[in-house]
Order: sequence, then C-alpha cells, then structure tokens
Amino acid sequence: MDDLLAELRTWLSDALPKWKAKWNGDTSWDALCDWQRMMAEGKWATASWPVEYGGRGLGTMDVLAIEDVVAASGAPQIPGMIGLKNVAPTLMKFGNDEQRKSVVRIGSTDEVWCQGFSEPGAGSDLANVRASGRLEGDEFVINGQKVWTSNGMHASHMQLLARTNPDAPKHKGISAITLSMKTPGVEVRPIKQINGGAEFAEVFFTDVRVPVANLLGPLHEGWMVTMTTLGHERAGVAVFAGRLEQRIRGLIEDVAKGDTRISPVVADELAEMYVEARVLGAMARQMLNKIAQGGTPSSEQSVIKMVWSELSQRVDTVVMGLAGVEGVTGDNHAAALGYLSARSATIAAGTSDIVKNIIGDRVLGLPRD
Amino acid sequence: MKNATTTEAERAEFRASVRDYLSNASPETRVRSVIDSGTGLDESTWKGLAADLGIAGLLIAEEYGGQGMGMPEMAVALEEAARSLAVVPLLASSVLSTLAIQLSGDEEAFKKYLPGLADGSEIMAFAGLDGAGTTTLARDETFWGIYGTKTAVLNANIASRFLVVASTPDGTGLFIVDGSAGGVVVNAQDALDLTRPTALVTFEGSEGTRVGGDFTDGLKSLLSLGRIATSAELLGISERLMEISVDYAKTREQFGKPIGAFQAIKHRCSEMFAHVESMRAAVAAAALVDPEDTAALHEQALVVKAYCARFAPWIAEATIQVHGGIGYTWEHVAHLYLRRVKTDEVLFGDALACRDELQEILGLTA
Repeated sequence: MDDLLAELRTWLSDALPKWKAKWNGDTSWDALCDWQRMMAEGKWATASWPVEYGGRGLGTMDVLAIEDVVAASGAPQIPGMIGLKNVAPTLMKFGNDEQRKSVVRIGSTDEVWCQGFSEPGAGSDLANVRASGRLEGDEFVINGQKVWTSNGMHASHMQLLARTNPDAPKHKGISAITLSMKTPGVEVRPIKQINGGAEFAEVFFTDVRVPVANLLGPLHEGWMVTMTTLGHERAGVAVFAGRLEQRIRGLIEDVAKGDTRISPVVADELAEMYVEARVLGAMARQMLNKIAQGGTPSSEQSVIKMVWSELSQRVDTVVMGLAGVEGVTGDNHAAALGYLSARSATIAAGTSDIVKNIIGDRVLGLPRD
Repeated sequence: MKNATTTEAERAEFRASVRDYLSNASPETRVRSVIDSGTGLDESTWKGLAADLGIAGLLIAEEYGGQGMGMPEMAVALEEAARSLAVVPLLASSVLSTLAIQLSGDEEAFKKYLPGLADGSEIMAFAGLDGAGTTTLARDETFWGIYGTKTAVLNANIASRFLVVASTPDGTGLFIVDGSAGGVVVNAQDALDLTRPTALVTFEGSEGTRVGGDFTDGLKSLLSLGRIATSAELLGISERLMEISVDYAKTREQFGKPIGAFQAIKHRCSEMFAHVESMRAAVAAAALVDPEDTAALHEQALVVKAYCARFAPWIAEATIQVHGGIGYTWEHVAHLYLRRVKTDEVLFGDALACRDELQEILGLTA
C-alpha cells in the first residue's frame, strides 16, 4: 500500500498544480468535472472499480487511504460522487450491455448521474414510492415527481425508482429504470435550501416514455437493486466519524490558542464534545478494523450514523454560540452557514428518528408499531 | 502488568467461560442471600473465580503465581463480574491493591504480597481517598506511623491488609498496614452499593511498611487504571440493563400491545444500545493503551470515565423508567445495579471531574 500512496502523491504533485493553473481559482461545476476527469484518467477516482472498467480493483481500506491522501493534498471535492460510488457499481452488477457502457462515461463525467429515489410522500419511508412506470408494449410510461435529487440540476442521466406493479405489497412492486434527463416530459427545478444553496432538485415526469431495455435488474425488483446500491458505501459513515473527531480536535485547539476568554460552561461543553468525539472515533476505527480483517459491519453503521448526526450538529451549534452576535450580523458568515447546513445532519440518509426505529426493530428485535 | 497478550477471539472465549461460571455460581438469588448475610463476601464464588478461573491473579506476573495478563483481559473479568453483581473484592483486591504494589516497583513487596493476592487467599483493600478536608500523614518515627482517615474503602471489612497512600516528609508514599496493627479502626459505612461494602478506616499512629519510594507517578497511573476498571464495570452493567429493558419491552403489554412497539420506549432502548456500543469501543481503546505510556494512559482514562460515568447512570435510570412501577420495587434487580453504578460513577472522579482534568490537558482553562 505504501508504494501505491507514494505513486498517488507523485501523481498529485504533478496533476494538481496543472489543474489549478488551468482554472485559476474557479470552482465551478465545469472546473470540478475537469478535476474528476483527471482523477479518473489516473485511475484514482475509480480505484475501487474492477480493472476492466478502468479501475484498480482495490478494497475498502486501500480506497480510504487514497481518499485521505487526496483530501490532505488540498484537492477539490469530486462532483460526481453519486455516480462513482453508487450508480456505477449498480450498473456493473445489474446493467445490460448498453447500460454498462455508461460506467466509463461516469468516471470521465461525460455522463453525470443522479438517483431519483425520494418523493414528497416517500422520504424516510422510501418504499412508499408513488411515481408510476406503467408498462405499455415495449415502453415504460413514467408519471410522478421526485424530490431531494442530489446533483439533479447537473445530471445527464437518472437511476429512477418507479412503481411498476401498483397491486403488489409496497416493497415488491418497484422497478429501477435508467433514463436520460433529456427525455421529453422530464422537467427539473432547483430546490433552494435554508442555507441558500441549491444542491438538490425536484424532477417532474409527465408521460415520459423509455424503452423496456432501460429496466435495471429484474422487473419489480427495484427495491433489492437499490438496497445493493446504498450498501456500497458502508465504510462512508466511519470516515465521516473520523473527520468529525479531527474537526472537534481542531476547533478546541483554535479556541485554546485564541485570545477570546471562554466561560467555564463553554469550556465544559467543549470538553464534553471532545469526549464524545474521541469515543465516536474509537468506534469508527474499530469498525474499519473489522472491515480490514474481512468482517462485515452490521449495527455499527446505524449507531455511528446516529451518534455522528447528533454530534456534528452540536459542533455547529457551539461554533455559532462562540461567534456570538457576529453569527447573526453576517460578520461570521461561516458560522451561520455551518449552523444552517447542520440541520440536514439528522435528516439526510435517514432521519435520526428513523435510525432509532431501525436499531429498535432490526438490532434489538423490538415489536414493530 | 503487560499490554494485551491475548487476541480478541481469545478474550471472547475467556468472557464466555467467566459468564458461564458466574451465571451458575452467582445468580440473583445468591447475590441477595449474600447481601442479607451481611458478610460482604460470597466466599465460594470468590474461590471459584480466584482459584479455578485464575482471575484474582490476571494482572500478576507468572513468577509470582499470576496469569501475566493486562487490562484488556481484566476489563473482560470486571465487566462480567459487575454484570453478575457477584459479591467479590475483584476491584479492591485484584485490581487496585495489586496494581498499587506493582506500580511501587518494590520487588521485595512483589515477592511478599503478590502470591497471596494472585490465588485470592489474601484480600487487601486500597485506602486511597482521604476523609473530607483531611490529609493522611506518614511520620518517620521508630517505624512509619500512619495518621489519618480514609473514606469509601471498598471491602475493608474483609481485608487483611490495607494499601494506604499517605503524605511523607519527602512526598507521596505508599504503605502497607496490617489490619490487626494497633490503631486501625474500621467503621462500616451505610454503603449505597449493597454488593460492595465500604468503610471509614482510621489509622491512629498505625505501623506501616513503606512500599517503594516516591509514589506520585504511581498514584497517577493507579488512578488512571482505576478509571478504566470502573468504566469496564459500568459497561458490563449497562449492557445487562439494556438487555433487561429490551426483554421487558418485548413482553410487557399495555394498550393491547408490547410497550416496545411504542416509539417513546423503542427510542429509549435504541439510545441505550448506542451508548453501550460507544462505551464498549471506549473501554476497549482505553484498556489497550500501553500502561508505560503514562500521558496517553492518563488522557484515555479520563475520556473513557467521562463517557461511562455520564451515560451508565442514564441507562440505569432509563431502565427503571422503562419498567415503570415494577422497576421501583426492592424485589426488582434494577436498583441493585443503579446502586453499583452510582458508586462506580464517583470512584476516581465522576464525569464532571474527568472533564475538568481534560480541560486542563486541552488548554481550555484560563
């Protein structure tokens, strides 16, 4: 692994300055896609993919080590994470010959994929998908609405969940369908978030016709196909936890070095967060060790997600508190932005309330309501 | 004492054998009958743990009759003993007194005292905490004379010797005082924890044997190891309380369904689980710290105790809440655990005290 990381560092020391010189501080979507293209050509963005798709066939721990080195180099975020991490592995596993051709284009950003999962009536209760995909001859006719679609404004393609059998129980009648966002009848609108950003979209479908060949995986088995997709990022939550521990350490160092006098109450609040961060970090490292030894984490994921969500939200609340009046006057914009953005920590990828239900039902075996 | 000498799989096997033994030797009925006897010691269970399972000597080197293991293994024993509520002096004798002697570095004392501790034939008590507003002194007379009062001395009523921390003219010292020495007065306290008696022990010029030299650093390490040990107990109890609560939530019906189907109860149980898993990770990480790396040991011990001392009481209280009225009865086991938890919480510093020390390490104090 040391050789691999040395190769990566050499590659970064050449590629990153070239990209910076070309874009000169520009962090637009096009500039970020250009960086992803370079990262994919170097087989770094696609390191987890099999060799035949232009990857390196590396396991979770190697990929995490690569991501750490890339992050430490100050490289920008890769824009097409959903395509790289979730859609491409699903296409490789379930796609037909035509669908699998998209994989390489996802790496290069020639195609940008989004996932049409959540709906106004299917958020935490994702299986409650209502968008319909009526089979008519050799076409699906799609009607309905998707919401909270990440990268929806930039996407060229979508992996869609639609109800193809309205009479089956709710997990059984769903299919995964791929389509171009340029298909007639598809309309995309941005969602403006409480933090002013617009990283999500609403997507409306009005009699959108796609060929049956766009079915991904077996008919009516979209739930299984999707769960496989979501399962690809199982180590992700442990990485987030490790970064949160680092962030809290950094915040405390800054406060300790700074000139601002803090009250004993705030000092205790920081110490309390430090304790929780250290414990969360220990839990995350133990989960990663388990993966490294070939084990499969189970309940750890839900617990780490639950603890991470609430602790990361708390950090931004404390940072906002430390900012005092500057947090509300625009003088400390970063604190306000962090505070507003942190509201999503206990909502995205399963609200904390639902995570507690999942732990209760699936881990502890408590009776369902 | 060594760092981890066993693998995770070996520790799992060890845990299973301890749990198996204790579930037979020390069921709740046994615990209650020992409590009612007022002796403060379940002799046959202690013999089984010490002699048959070798637990009393886990931290003692093989040349002195022990197992030559370290905190990762002792943490397992402490978790299991605490979850069974066995009335044995594991913490006082096999952890605190044993470690105090070892941290003194006094090889004569190793030879003299460790074999008896290793097979459990001798029980010692650690007298570290001075009575409110007092300082225990050691005066160099014709012998070392110990003057002072120690409080919350665990298992003092069954100890043959006391490990006493006292202030000497040249710094902090560690002394061994025979229980039968002149001027030793043991007054039983009305201990909250029914499974582990405490006493106020007064030394009125009692003769002490000095063990090792300056004990300032030794005491600091001992306090750290005490924090990890009490955290392991808190973990073992918390896990058991979570199991009891979940079982009850599955079977107790109100309003026509098991109460665990109600989200208020379900979420409480899920939060218990998250805290238990966090405590497990924290105790494992702390037990694996190399005890020679005193700075890391100090910091990790504060972290683990700050966490466990905050959330184990929450879990014990939540257990009573989940059980409703039955949880408030003497007959239910919940209060036996709550009493033990509240005691472990304050030994070697509660969460607030640990965070206070962490603030200093982190540079957060003005």
